[in-house]
Amino acid sequence: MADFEGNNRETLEDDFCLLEDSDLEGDVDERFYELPILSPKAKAKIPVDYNKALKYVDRKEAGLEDVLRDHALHLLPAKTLFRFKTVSRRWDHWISSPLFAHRQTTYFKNVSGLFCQVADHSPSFISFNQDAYGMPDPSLSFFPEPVKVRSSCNGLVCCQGIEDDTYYICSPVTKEWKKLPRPNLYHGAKAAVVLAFEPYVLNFNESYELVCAVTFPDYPVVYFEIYSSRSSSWRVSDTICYELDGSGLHDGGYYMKGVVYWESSSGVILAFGLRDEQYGFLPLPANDEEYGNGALAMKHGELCYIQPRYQDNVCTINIHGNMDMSLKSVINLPYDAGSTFGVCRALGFINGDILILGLGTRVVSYHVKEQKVELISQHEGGACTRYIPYVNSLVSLRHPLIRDKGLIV
Amino acid sequence: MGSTSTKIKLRTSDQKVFEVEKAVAVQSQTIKYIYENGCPDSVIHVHSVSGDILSKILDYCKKHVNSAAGKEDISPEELYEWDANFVKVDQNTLFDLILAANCLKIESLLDLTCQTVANMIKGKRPEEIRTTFNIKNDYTIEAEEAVRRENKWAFDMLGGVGTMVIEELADDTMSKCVTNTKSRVCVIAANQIVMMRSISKLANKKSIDVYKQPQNPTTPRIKESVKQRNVGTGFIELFFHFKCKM
Repeated sequence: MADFEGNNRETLEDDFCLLEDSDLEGDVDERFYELPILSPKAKAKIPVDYNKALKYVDRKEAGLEDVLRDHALHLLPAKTLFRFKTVSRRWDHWISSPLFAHRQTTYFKNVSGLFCQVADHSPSFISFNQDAYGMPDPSLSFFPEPVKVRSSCNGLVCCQGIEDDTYYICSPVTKEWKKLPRPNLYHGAKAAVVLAFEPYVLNFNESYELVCAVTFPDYPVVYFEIYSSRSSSWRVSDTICYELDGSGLHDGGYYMKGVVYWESSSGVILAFGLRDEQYGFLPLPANDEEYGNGALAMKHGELCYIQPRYQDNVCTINIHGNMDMSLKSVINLPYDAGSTFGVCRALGFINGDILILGLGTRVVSYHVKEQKVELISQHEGGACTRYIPYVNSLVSLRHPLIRDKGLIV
Repeated sequence: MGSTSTKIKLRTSDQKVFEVEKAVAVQSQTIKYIYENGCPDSVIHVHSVSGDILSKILDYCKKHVNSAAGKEDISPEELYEWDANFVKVDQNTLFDLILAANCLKIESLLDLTCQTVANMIKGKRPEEIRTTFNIKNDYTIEAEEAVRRENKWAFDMLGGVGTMVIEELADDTMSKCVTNTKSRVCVIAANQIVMMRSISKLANKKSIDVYKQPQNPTTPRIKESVKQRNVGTGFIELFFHFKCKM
């Protein structure tokens, strides 16, 4: 099957060796979809003439461009890739392939920037690297109505209509969007919503889930209603949480490794596992004054909580981790961040080394190892601004094999 | 120690012989396959890898084998740091490492080096990519302009103050230029269309006049004379590493 060519090539090479066409010029290159050509000579000789076999392996030596295509291209972000379509026609062909888009979505998972929105104004995008990360329409004006950005995961973004609370899922890079059906329960505008999207290499049909912790005004219960893209429908989970007053759930949860997390003003983190649909609690290190300033993040594959502490005009960042959210490390900001800018919010943690902080109206990045602060953006808004981390992937909402080839899988 | 550790001999393209422990050498799937299916006592030829590169690669393999086996007391973060320093090499060495890791099939090294290259190029322009990796531009002028126009947002990059530098090309790099009705040649450069003299006059000139199309129609056209190498008999291509004012 052509779509497994990438994987097939590697395993076939173990037994045989490939003869590549030396003539690479000409029209749009279809090699990406072709089956590899096998050399009958190499087949027979191993193990006796192993040196000859090795010679064949050397002679087929892939050029740098081919190695890059197979191993490096899918590590690049969307904006860079769209720009590289003009490198050559072959690059355009590789990059435009829907299977490549799927591959890039699976491998490229770096947080590329923040969607930023003040109240009900249009969203905007703060890019961490303007040359590499971006999208055609950062204000998401391709929606039929004004929207509020609620959650994002690996390139997919969930928005909610401001007028009528309809949920939408979109891919900002491709400008594709999908309107979700109405949920069974009434969510209102404040439901704690988390988008869970985990792309897998062999799962070509990008499936995601929208997990909503739904609360009711007078009852201390939390229901979990989940939209699954596989069934295209909503379902209320059998698991109900009676232990928590849901009204204090912080907008903007966090998804990691199959579990959805929400901060609650009652001093706990509510965790909901998607596989078994069981919930649990983690202690929340923030106290009342600091509630809302911290953020959940991932450090070296583990969940951690970043809590800025502001004492005596000095701002320090506490990193909490493990199951008990105990204090693991403290980072001292090199300058007096708090008093100058008012409020210090943690917005994210990239690659375990770069802290993203909101200081007043500014967004800065702090490289922990190099102890370097960089200003990323300065804009209107402040404590009321919502920031949603976004990954610049090529994810497409359409089935990759259906779009151009007319196959049904 | 002698009886438990098997050694494998490797000969490189420049006839250097390396003797390494089997555990280290079989990090390379290629060497592992050859060793297990061939004559274990002979020397394995790695024709496409030079001595310097193989030496570096063996350092990498040794470090990772020792760390995994617990022979070296190194935490995952320290190993990560060691890897980060390992790839702090010049561009040519990095490319050689990529090709060698691909040929020898050392997956973790290939991932590491490719990630390094990806970080290196993610902010670059297409022209720089072509130069760095020696890629031929097979677009026609209109086709390239069409793709560029369709994806305009991706070309919106940070720039500096306007300077114009010609990046010199290899002698045999030719590409088609299209003439418009006034017999002038249009070359797409960065975000600007650069107008040039007609083709017939180019053949005889040692230098060409380059006009920058102004974004604001009222600003006067800027004329720069630039040196140019090797005008072919009709078709030339010039790369402009042009930074535009934001």
